[in-house]
Amino acid sequence: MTTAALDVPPPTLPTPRAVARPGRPRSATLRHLRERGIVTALLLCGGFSLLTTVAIVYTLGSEALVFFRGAPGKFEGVPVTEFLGTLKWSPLLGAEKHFGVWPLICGTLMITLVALSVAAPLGLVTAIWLSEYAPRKVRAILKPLLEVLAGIPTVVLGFFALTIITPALQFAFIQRPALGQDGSPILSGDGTPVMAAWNPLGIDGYNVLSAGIAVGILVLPIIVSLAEDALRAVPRSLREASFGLGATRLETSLRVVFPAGLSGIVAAFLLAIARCIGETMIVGLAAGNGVVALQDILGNGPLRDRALIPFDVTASMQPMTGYLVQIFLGDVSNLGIEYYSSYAVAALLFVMTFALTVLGHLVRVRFQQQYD
Amino acid sequence: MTTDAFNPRSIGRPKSVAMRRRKDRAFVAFCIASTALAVCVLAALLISIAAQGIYDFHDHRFVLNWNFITGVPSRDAASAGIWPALVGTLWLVGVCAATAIPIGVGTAILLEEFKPRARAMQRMQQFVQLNITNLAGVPSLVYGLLGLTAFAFMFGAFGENDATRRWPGTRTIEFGNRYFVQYVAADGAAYYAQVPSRDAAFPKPGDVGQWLDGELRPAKVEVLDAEQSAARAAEIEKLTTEVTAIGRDVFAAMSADVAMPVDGVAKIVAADWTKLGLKSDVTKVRDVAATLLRESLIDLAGKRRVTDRPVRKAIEAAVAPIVAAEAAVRFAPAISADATGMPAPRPRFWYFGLPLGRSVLAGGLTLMLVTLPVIIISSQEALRAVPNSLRQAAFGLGATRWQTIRTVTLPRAIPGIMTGVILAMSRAIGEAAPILILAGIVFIRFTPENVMNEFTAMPLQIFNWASRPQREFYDLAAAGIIVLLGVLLSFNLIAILIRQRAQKQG
Repeated sequence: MTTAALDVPPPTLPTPRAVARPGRPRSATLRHLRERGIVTALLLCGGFSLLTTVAIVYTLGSEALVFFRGAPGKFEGVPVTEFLGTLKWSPLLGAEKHFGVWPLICGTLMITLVALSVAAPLGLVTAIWLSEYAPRKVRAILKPLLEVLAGIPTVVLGFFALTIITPALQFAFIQRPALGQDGSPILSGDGTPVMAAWNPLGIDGYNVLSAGIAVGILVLPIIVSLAEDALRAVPRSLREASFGLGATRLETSLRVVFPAGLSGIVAAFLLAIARCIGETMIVGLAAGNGVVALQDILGNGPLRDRALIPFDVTASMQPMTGYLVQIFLGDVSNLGIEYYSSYAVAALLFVMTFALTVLGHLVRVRFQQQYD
Repeated sequence: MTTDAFNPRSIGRPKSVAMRRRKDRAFVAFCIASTALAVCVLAALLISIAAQGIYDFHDHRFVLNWNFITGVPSRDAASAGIWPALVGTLWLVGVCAATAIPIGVGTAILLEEFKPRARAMQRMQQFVQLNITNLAGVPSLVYGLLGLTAFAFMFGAFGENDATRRWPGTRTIEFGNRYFVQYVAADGAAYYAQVPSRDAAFPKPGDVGQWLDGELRPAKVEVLDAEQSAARAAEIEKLTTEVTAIGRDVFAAMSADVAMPVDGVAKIVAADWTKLGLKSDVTKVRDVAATLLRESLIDLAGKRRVTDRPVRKAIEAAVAPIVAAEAAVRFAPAISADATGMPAPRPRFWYFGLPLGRSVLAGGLTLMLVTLPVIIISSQEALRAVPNSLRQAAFGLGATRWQTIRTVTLPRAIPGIMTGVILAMSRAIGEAAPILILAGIVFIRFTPENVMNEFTAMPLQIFNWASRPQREFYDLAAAGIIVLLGVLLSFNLIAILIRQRAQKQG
C-alpha cells in the first residue's frame, strides 16, 4: 500500500458547540455540606417571618402592659376594665384623663360601614359582571384599570377625600353668603359678605362620609378581584345545568353561581373589613379628631352637640388609627401615658385585624365547595 | 302549574319569559352604568389632581416646575420643593429591596421547593404559610410601631441615639438656615460657633468671634492653652474629691433608711454640702442629686451582692450635677486651644452605628417588613408556574435539590419574581403610615448621604403639605402626588416590560 491511500482526509464530523465535559471531580462531601448550608439559610429565612409575628406580639404586648400596669413614679396604670368598659375617651385634654376606648372603636366601625356600603354593592356587581357577562375585550380593559386603582397610594386617596369629595358633598360649587350665629351674614374687612359653600346637608370640613367613601374606593379592587376569583372557581357545569333548565343569566348568577362561591366572597369581605379597619392615611387627612362622647348618649348626660351622635356621618369622628396618627404627629419624646395608650390601641387594632384574617382563611378553607 | 315533588319552589305564579329577560338586560345596563361611574370617579381623581398640581390658575404660574423637583421644603409655599423627599424615597426603596429580596425569595423557595414529607413538618409548613397570609393583612401602622421599637430604639439595648449620631454625615450642624460647628468644653458642655456655609472650614477656638451656648444664645467662653487647661483640670479634680467625700457620708446615712423620701434626702444633701462653702446655688441641683442618690440606692438594695464599684459610680453620678453647677459659677466655660470642632470629618457612605435611630436603615427595614409577605406570596406563585417536568428532568440527571433550583427553577422563575418584587416596591413607595410613625413630621432639608442619616419620604411630605389649611400647600401636595405617581408609573412600566420580555422568551 502506498501512503497516497492515506491521504484521504478523514470524514469531518460537525464540531459540537457545547460539549458536556465531565469536569474536575467534585467532592461529594463538600456538595453535601453546601446543600446543608443552603437549607439552613433557607430555614432561617422561613423562621424570619415567624420571628416577625413574635416581635409584633412582644412589642405591642409589652408596651401595652406598661399602659395597663403603669410606670412607677411616672403615671398610674389604666385597668383593662376601664379601657374596655367605660365610654369616655379624653387622653390629651383636661386635668382628668379618661381611657375608655369605645368611642374610637365607634369611629372605626362607622368608617368601615360607610366604606362597605359604597364598595360592597359596586364590588359584587362588578365581580358578577366580570365573571359572567363581560366579553373578553371589556375584561382586558377593566382588569388593568382595577390594578391601577389598587396601586394608588393611600395619601392620594386621602388628599382626594379632603379636596374633592368633601367640597363636592358640601355643594361648594354653589356659594352662598356665610351666616353667623344670629343668622345675619358675616362681613369681611371691606364690608362685602364672606362667601361659603351652600352645604345643604350640613357636612363638616372633616367628616366620616368623605373618608368612608375614599376607603370604599380603596377596598373596591380587593372585593372585586377576590370575589371574581371565587365566582370563576365555580365550574361551568353548574352554570350550564342552570341554562339547560331555562334560567336567564341573571337568575343563574344570583341563584346558582353566587351561592356556590359564597365562601370565597365572605372571605373577600372579611379581608376588606380588615383593610378598612387598618387604614391610616385617609382617615388621618379627612376624618378629623372628633371624639364621640358615648357616655353622654348611652349614659345620663344631655345631648348637646351634633357631633356627639355616634351615627352622624356628617361630623368628624376619630377612629383608632386616627388617634395613633394624632399621637405620633405630636411630640412623643416625653413618654407619658399618651405614648403608651397608643400602643394599647394598636394592640387592639392588631388583635382585630388578625382575628379577621384568620377567620377569612378558615371560612375559605372550611366552607370551600369541592367539585369533582 | 306543575307540582314537582323535589323542588317546592316550582309551585309559584308563572313568570313571563319576557319579564325575566328584561330583568337580565336591566342588570347588564346597571353593570355598565356602575362600571362607567367607577371609571368616571377614577378620571375625576386624576384630572383634579393634575389640574391642581400642574398649573395654578390663581397666580398664573406652573406649580410643577423644575424648581419644585429639585428644591427643598420651606415655609414659603412658592419656593418649596420635593428633592429631599424624592431622594429619601429612593434610598428607602433601595434598602428595602436589598433586604427584602433575599429573605423573601429564600422563604418562597423554602416553602415551594423543600416540601417536607413528614406529617409534623407538613403541619409546620402550613403554619408558616398561614402566618405569612396573616402578616399580609396586618395594617402597615403596626409595622411602623414595630420598626420604631425594634429598629429605631432597638428595645433600648444600645442607649440613646445622641445628637452627634443624628447628623453623622454633615461636617456642620444645620439649624434653620444657619450652620454651626460644635466644640466640647472641659466640663462636658457643648458650645457652638457659627460658620457661613455647610462646607466651611472649622475655625480654631482662638479665632471664634462669638461663642453660642446650647440654646444658641451668646455665651462667654475662655480659650485656654495647654498649661491653663492642665491647671483648670486640677482645680475641678480637687473640687470633685471634696464633694465626693461628703457624698459618701450622705450615702452611708441614707443606707440606713432606704424608704426616705426625696425631700428628706435633699435636706441632708443641702445640710452636709453647705459645709463646703460652695459659691453656687446648690438648691437648684440639690433635688436632682438627691433623686439620683435615692434611685441608685433603691436599685442597689435589690441586688444580692453590692460591691464598692456600683456605690462609687452612684455617688459620682449624683455628685456630678453639683460639681458642674459649682464649676459653672467659679470658672467661666473653657475650651482648650487645640480642640477640634465636632463632629469628626464626614463619615464615608459605609458609616454604621447602633442604635439605628430614625435613620434610612431603620426606615428601609420597616418597609422590608411591610413588603415581605407580598414578595413571598408573589414569588411562590412564580415558582409554582415553573413546570414540574423540568425539575424531574434535572433530578433524573442526578442534580441535588439546590443545584436544580439554582440552574433550572430560579432562572425560569426570575421574570415572575422580579415583576412581583417591583410591584411590591411600588406599593412600598406609597406607604406613608410606617414612615410617619418612624420619622414623625420632620423638617428635613438635606438628602441622606449614608444609611444612618435622617430622612423624609414623598408620601410623608405630601401628607405634611395636605394637612396644612392654606390653599397653596394643597397645590404643592397635588404637585407632589404627580411626582409620586410618576415614579410609580415608571416602576410599573419596568414591571410590564420585564413581563413582556419573559413572555417573548418563554
